[in-house]
Amino acid sequence: MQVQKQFDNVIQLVGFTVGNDRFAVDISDVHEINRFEQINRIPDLPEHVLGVIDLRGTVIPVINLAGKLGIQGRDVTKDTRIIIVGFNGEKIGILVDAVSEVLRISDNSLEMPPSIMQSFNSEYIRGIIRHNGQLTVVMDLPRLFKDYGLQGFVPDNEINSSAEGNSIAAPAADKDAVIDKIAEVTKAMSEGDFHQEISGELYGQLGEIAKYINATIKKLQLVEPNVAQASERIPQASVQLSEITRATEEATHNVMSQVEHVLDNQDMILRHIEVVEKGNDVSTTMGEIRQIVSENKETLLDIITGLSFQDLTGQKIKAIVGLIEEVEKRLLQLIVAFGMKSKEVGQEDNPLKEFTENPVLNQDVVDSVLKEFGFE
Amino acid sequence: MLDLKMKILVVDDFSTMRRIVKNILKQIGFANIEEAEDGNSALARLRLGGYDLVISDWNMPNMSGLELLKAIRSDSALSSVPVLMVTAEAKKENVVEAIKSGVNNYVVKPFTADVLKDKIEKVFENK
Repeated sequence: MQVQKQFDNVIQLVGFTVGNDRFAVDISDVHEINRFEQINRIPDLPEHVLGVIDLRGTVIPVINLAGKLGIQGRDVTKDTRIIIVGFNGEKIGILVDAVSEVLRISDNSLEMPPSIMQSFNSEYIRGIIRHNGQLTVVMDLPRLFKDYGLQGFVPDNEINSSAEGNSIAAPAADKDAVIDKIAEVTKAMSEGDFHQEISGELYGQLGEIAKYINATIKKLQLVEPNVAQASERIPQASVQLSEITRATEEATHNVMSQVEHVLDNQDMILRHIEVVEKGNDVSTTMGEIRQIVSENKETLLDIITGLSFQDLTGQKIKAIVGLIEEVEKRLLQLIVAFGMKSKEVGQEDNPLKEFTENPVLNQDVVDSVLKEFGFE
Repeated sequence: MLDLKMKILVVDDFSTMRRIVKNILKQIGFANIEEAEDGNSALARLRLGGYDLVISDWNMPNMSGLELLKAIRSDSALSSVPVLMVTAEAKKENVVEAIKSGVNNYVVKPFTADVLKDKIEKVFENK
């Protein structure tokens, strides 16, 4: 106990989180802080002991602090740490969700836990401190050690001497089975089956891989129906667009046929006028001219009617724009779900740039270029 | 004075555009006009002989107008056939590329009958 006190009544604590709660241990008890690594399981472990780790030749038990305190811990993430603490020559590892900071507090700011803290096993609580508006529980390490320190574990040298036995490393067959399962689920995922998950208690690198895969699968399950639904509509849109191209082509040809007919009639009127000018068959020719003119009028009105195709194609295009917007929205959901960091779509990447931005080169500009090259 | 009897090949993948060009040519007074829908079929027709002018689009499937132009210039039987490019190609580099590949003139869509006539006249003046 006395080692936790500094001579100037300031204690330094290592702050960490388990679940939603903040904890701290005296820095002088902390030997090192390690990233989460493979925890080897051994048979007949005391409650809340996950297994052992091999720390440079020394075997150290790792305690699941969340379980020990009766609170809900988080899944293993990149922030998960194993704090190695020592007391009376014994070392244990404490699995925590994240190490947050080193706190310097005055000894007398340590308060007794209020009753609200009784929600978890308060016997391991040395006191609480208020820091940045939040409560931090200072752990009573000796108490924790009392539970594990001299019972439940064989001394280091005995573990080392029995290292060739069955205890320390995870059985190879287990590992192979896990790798097989990971491979199976990953393969299924790549084939579009997002409904399997990797189950079982996994630790170490394999556990992390399995968790990432499971998290990815969950996200895929979330967006899959949306994207599938959206992509089903893309062919629908392209069929519609092809239909529009066909319809406009047909309509343009119709209009052109009618215009050609009017142009031919114009020529015929000119020839009739020549006949009239020569004074031949004036009244019959004039009658024919009148008939051609009224026919032209009819044709011109047909052209106007024919242009109503724009209304039909316009409506279709509007529907397609709606489809595209929907697909866009769904894809956006996909991007959000995976937090994809795509580079900004630059102007260079926009295939429609030429149509939307560059003003079409006009004949004058082309002519000046032609002139530069000696064209008249 | 333009020879209105000349045989012209209009190359464009859009049938409507071919028809528009054809009508404008008719308006100018040309009557001997044929069509091709891309560079490949244009080249096949040209090799049958007898064409006095090619009016070609730039963007076409299979063989583009520029590729057609290069093919014409590198074919000894066709190399002297004038080619008029009629396109909406919006970049100056494209015009320069066409000129360097031996185009006889360049018309930008959309164009009027007057512009097309003027350009055809220039093609034959400069020949």
